[in-house]
Amino acid sequence: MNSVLGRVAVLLDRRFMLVSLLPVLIFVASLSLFIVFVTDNGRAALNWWIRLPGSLQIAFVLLFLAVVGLLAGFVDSQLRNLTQFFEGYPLEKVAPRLYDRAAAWHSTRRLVMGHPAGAARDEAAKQIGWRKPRRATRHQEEFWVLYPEAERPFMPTRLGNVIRAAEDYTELRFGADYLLVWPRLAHLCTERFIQDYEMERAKVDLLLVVSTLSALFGFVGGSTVLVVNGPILLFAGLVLGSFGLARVAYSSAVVAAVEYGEQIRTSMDLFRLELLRQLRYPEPRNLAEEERSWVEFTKILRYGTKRRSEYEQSVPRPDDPPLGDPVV
Amino acid sequence: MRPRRAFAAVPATDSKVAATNGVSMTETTSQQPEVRPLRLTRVGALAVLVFLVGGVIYLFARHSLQTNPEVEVMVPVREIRPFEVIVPGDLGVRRVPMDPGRSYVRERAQLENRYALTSLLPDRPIGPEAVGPLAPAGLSSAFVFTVEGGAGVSLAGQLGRGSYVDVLLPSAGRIGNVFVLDVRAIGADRWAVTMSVASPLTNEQAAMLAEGRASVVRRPVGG
Repeated sequence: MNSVLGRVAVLLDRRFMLVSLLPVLIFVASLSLFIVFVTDNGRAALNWWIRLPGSLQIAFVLLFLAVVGLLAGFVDSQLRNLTQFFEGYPLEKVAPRLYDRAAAWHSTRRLVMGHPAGAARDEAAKQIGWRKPRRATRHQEEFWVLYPEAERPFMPTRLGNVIRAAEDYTELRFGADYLLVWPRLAHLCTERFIQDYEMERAKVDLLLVVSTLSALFGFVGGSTVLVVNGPILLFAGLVLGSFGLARVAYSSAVVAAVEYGEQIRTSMDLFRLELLRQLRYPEPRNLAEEERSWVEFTKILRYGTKRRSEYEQSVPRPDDPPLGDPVV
Repeated sequence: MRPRRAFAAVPATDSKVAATNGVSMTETTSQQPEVRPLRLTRVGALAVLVFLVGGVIYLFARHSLQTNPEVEVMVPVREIRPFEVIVPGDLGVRRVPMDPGRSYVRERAQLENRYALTSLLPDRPIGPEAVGPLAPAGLSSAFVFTVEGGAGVSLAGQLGRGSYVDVLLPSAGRIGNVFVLDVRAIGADRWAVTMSVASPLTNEQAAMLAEGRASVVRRPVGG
């Protein structure tokens, strides 16, 4: 287990470099240079830099790197909030009406995608401005990973629905709340699986960070051009380019989130029975028995109730880690 | 770990089993949602469009209001320090809106081989008041010093940039052929005269000049 945690630590370090440090470094450097040159101070800055003593140049470089490192650390600490932002959670508090309307759009879109061709589907497609509902048939295989079950609550964004679909998988199939179970499940996953899981998660994070910073670059850079009365073409190109890149990065993040969602499903498919054994629940003979165990365990975690089922006195396997004390 | 989800209250719909492509799936009927669907992408695109169009209109308006035609003026390509000789390689050209209230040097010949009176910043248009007359030979290696005093220092206001004077030192003799770089009023009847000496100086002379312990006198006629 120590070696697993060690490898994860190394992976996280690389993850920080890739997900937070590199994008922030590029963002700060490019935005600084853009502002210096768009305000016609490029040559002055260059001359100022050339005339600086070497020791001061080194000091400024170190200061710059320190600022970038600090910002990258901040971005890294906000990755969870950033993901939640793109999932649409803040919208529920800020603009609940808009949240509902956006969630309804996705709800209707899923309806169109999963519904056989006919007048009902065409009517639903019309509601969301989908002029070519026939295209939906191409996505028949995909909509299970793109959207939660029809009876479940929908999120207002594509990313939110993709991740919600993956999280719902465990609850609907086995009665286990993935968010509660995962912290325990993670310790039973293989090193290789954790690496893959973290890699897929890092892809989503990276693309969301790129999307955010691109949009920020477009806004700050565009505002600078407005303030200095810069060229119109520069302003238009900057805004379209930056927000276009932000959009492309977000769409790529949705695709990456599908893969990440598969990792979530896979973790439950492969390791959930091992977790039940570690928790000393009886080995289920069928889905109904397993669901009873998970529902009880989920209630324990969610509401703090006490366990009522008997402990299973399982026989340890030769390569098993030692069983700890029961959780409850 | 994944954060807690916030369950959204999207209106539930009736469910039924619909066969699609041979797959049995739980599906909703076409019951109308209680809220009108709205794609969030459109809201985002609209916000970007407002920023884009608003910005373009704003810039267009500012550029249109800027009725003054642009003119080409000379600008330094590097910072030129006071009393530094301007050489051809120091100059570039830039277009700026014509400002009736200000004049900038537009001809290269009005700057080349003259010297700066103040620090000239890169890419900034140069006003005619910021440069002196043609620089004397060897100014770049000359000893530059400033003498401050009353009206006598400026020879009762008759001294000007480009003049040649003699300088008397209290105990180190007379230095001739001294070039006057600048004459500035620094207070009520107080003047500062900046000069340059190209000829070699003794250490004593240099020390006295650096301290401004010198008197300015006219050059003798025919001297």
